Amino acid sequence: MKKRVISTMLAAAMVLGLAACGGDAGNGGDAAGSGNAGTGDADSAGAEAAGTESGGGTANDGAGEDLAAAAIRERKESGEYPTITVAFMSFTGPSDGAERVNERISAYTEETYGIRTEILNYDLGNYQQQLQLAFASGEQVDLFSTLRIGYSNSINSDYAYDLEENDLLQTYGQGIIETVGQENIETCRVNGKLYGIPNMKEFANGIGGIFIPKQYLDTIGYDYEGVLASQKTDRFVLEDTILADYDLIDDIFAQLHEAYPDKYVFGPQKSVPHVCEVDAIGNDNFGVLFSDSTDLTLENMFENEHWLEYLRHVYQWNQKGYISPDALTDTTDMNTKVSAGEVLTYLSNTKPEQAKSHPELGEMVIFLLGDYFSSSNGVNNMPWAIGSGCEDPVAAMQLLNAFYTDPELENLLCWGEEGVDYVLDENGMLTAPEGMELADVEYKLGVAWEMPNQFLTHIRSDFSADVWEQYDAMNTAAKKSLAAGFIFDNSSVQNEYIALTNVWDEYSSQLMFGFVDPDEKTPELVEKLKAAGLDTYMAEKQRQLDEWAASR
Amino acid sequence: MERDKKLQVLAHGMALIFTVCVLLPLLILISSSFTDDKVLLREGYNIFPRAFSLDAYTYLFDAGSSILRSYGISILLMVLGTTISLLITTPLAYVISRPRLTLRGPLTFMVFFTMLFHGGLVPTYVNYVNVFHLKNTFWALLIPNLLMPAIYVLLMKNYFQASVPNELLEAASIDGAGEFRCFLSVAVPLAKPIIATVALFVGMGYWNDWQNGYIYLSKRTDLYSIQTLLNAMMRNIQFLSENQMDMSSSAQAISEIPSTSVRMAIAFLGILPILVIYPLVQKNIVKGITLGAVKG
Amino acid sequence: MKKRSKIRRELPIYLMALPGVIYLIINNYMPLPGLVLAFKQYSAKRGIWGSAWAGLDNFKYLFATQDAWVITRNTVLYNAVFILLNTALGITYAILLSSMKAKKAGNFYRGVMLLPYMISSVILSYLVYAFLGVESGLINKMIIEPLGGEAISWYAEQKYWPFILVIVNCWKSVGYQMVIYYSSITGIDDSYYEAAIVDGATSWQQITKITLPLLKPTITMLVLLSVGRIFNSDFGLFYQVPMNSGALFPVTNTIDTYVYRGLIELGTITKSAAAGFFQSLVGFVLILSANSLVRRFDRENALF
Repeated sequence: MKKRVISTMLAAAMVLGLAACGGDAGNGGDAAGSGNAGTGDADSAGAEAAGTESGGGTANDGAGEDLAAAAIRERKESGEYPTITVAFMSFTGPSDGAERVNERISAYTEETYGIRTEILNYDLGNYQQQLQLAFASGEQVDLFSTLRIGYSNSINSDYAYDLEENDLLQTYGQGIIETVGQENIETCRVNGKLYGIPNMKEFANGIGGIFIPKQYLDTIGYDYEGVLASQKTDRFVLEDTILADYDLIDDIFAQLHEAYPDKYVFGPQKSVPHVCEVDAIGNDNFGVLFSDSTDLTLENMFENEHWLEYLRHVYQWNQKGYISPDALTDTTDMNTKVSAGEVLTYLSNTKPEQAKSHPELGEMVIFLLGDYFSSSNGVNNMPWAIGSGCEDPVAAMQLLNAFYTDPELENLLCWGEEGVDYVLDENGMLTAPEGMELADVEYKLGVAWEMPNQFLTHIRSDFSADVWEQYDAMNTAAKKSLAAGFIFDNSSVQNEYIALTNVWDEYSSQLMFGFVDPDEKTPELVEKLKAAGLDTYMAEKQRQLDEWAASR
Repeated sequence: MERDKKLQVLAHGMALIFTVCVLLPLLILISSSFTDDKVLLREGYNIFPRAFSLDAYTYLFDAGSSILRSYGISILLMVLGTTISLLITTPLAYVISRPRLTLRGPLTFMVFFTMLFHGGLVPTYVNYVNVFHLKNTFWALLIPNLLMPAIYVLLMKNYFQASVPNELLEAASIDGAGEFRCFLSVAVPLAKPIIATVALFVGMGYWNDWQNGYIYLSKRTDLYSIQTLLNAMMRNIQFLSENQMDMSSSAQAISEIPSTSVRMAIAFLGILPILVIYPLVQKNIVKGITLGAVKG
Repeated sequence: MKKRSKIRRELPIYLMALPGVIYLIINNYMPLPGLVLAFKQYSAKRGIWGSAWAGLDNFKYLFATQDAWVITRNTVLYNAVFILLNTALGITYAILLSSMKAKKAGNFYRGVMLLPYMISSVILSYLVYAFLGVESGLINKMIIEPLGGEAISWYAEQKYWPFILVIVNCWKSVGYQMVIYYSSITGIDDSYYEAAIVDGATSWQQITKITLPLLKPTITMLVLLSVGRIFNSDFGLFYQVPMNSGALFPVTNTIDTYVYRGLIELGTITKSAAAGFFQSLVGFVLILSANSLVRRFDRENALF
């Protein structure tokens, strides 16, 4: 059953991040959805999506399918279409053309599911606040992404609706269960209740990827082609990725520094989970597991050798002048600096096709220091939820189900209208309309990875057609954290959390950018963290973790 | 007289020092808005553009109507807001400046109290959205928080007390003028300097405000004022640097967030109006409309 | 009874205050009950009123921390210095500019001095960075390096920041204060000065004997009001201007920045409400005590 789900998704193909996938690229049953809206085709796709046969196998399921289809039929017959709002964040808020696309989406969902759709798209800096205000004032929020507002917080503040109330998910969300898989859905269960559904994206990342444009490697005469071709390993590795260690990096950096004396060699990274295989449980660094942890005993990251090793290297790099002395304060994004040629390389975690994400620099090679790793929240770090004040949970669940299963709908949301915002080339890959670049089209979302199921969308023509298979392979091959699926609720130790965060903020950039000697500074940091309540905080995390483990 | 000359020299000297301190950074702001963005990134800010470029302004005015429309909204808002504000602030301040008024104490306290305690963002929002339905309307820019900051009421009250002699009002009242006429024909003309000053500050408050737009206009970004536009951008940049996302996720965001020189250009456009308004207001903050003149 | 009839007689006057009072009720008093949020364990489903009480739990994080002393000290000390300097400089400039004979120049100076007040703190942080950047900052490049000094890493050195922050704050606020005091000075009756000149008073004497005493009500009021906000810090100044640089926290962390850093990922609304309430309460107590002090010595100038 799970296999079938994956193969359907593979067929539907997609890309992450910028995302897109050829709905037609050799897919099976769901292809009907790529026809135009308003046709009988679309109708049947909707019905199919709402009520596909299930492997769940309880007696209720048969009735469930009927109920789902019946709900759609009833809405259509009554002519009273409920409006369901869909809230999410994008980096810069709605682009031009967002209203037009929203109308198209709504027309489509009305036709297919008997539901009108209203998109509430807020920008990064505003999303959390707008949702808080909307919930406080009782404005209508039916579906929302818990990104930034936090899944735990959404539960604690009663923003999220219990998805299993009256068998809601079982009855109207069969497509979700099939697509996402019960195992993944279970990672969102908190205290026995289910409040969210994981979105389909990468569940793991390559840790510690140093991105170096090929043009610079050419200058120093590093034979990446040869290394890539001859690289033999029993480890899983993505395209354009060379498995590296610190010695190799030291060597390359030294050569780059010599070849480009007036440029900075390295753009460091502040986020710890990007640089070492750490599972920052609950999205904080206070009490963690590592990829090589053998049991569920939390570790103090700030005394761990993996972390210290990275810090020592980055400190050396800084001492050697590879890092800009202004790095501490410069808020300019590393993307911009690398594109401007001020910095030669940068560090980030990696996922498929990322080496192609900077067209202006040409292709890049990724030197991966760590391995592919899936942390405890790899699956459930930004689930979708139904708002607690939702007046028509059935319609909301059915629309959510549609977003997980209906390629036509998901493509509209992620890429806009075919023929206006994009066209498909002869291979069914997505490109900009004649005479335009993808960056210039009117409708831009830019956050397909946040959407319920980006794997249903078209693939960009500059990406490989099998990009979704790469995702799946990476997700499967990655090391998994022992705490995979555990959700930490810090509400009883928030006072400690606030104090700890302030201490960590004081040291984080200095250490992570190599401005201070870690062997000198970290003892001081640890001492301050302890004074701020690190032990209390870790004890609570450990307690919940043990409880969680026992309940499984 | 000798001493007076010294005072003049001192005044000019100190004012000049401050002026240089103000204009130097502003020059940097202006020059970086005219600098090629890549050069700006590589070589940092400077007093004179190292690589002159109009890109930032071309970008802004190509982006077209949105900047001009925001400008228009900012201006309309400032004019309307300042007018209404003066219409309600001045009489209130006058009332609580009257001695021997029975409710003077409670009223003053009522004004003063609002300076310290405020319901906070969430309750204020709930109030305006659920009770008054201001969400996504122009009124949301005009009404919340800015219309009558308590400090200006108190400033005006002080001025009325200090510079509008009671005898003058009483004289007018004996001549048969009603309360309202006393206020209008005696108090207001005498208080012109403070009224002009408050007008200036309230106007600047409206011009600089971005939060109302950001909070209340979530679906009407076409009503964004120029400062909301600028600050929304800044906030996104700040959040991006606070939450490091992986590079490919944020790459596209970065490409959509305007460059540093554009931000500088918007900031420059944002302070331009003061250069226009100030001389207008200036005329009214002038010595001479003082007691002597009236008494004489 | 007598009081009531007096109020009735005064009714036309109150009518003038009505629009302002209505606005205060709508804008300030209607949301005021929302302050209970600070004492609640918030649930969106039950609403602000229906949520369970949390007692003083939401306030604990402000005190139960080793940083409590540092952030309180920073907030209060900086504010004290700001109040002192802004008031002194504001008055000085107001007096100097009002005594200036060249009116055109005076107008120009006043306009210019007000400009910094218009600049948002993010832009301000860029401008400060233009001076203090390690590599391309103007101070390092145009002053220190030509003199043969070693480039200073400004954003990593605590010792400079108390001064930098004070300077930046003055730069931003003095113009605003100056305009307020200037308008008060213009309200002073010219005949006072004319009489003084006839008596042969020097400019200095005019300032100390006429201008300053007559400015006293305005000064008292503005200072009192600033005292009421002594627990609130200018977030932009302490967060944006130092570029959130960790090395500087011991001298830049204030109550507002501490709260912001701690809560940004948490997303709870009750704890920030608690911080706001605490700041208001302290301000209220301080202002009442300061006011009663003023009352004792100088009844005329007390706020109420």
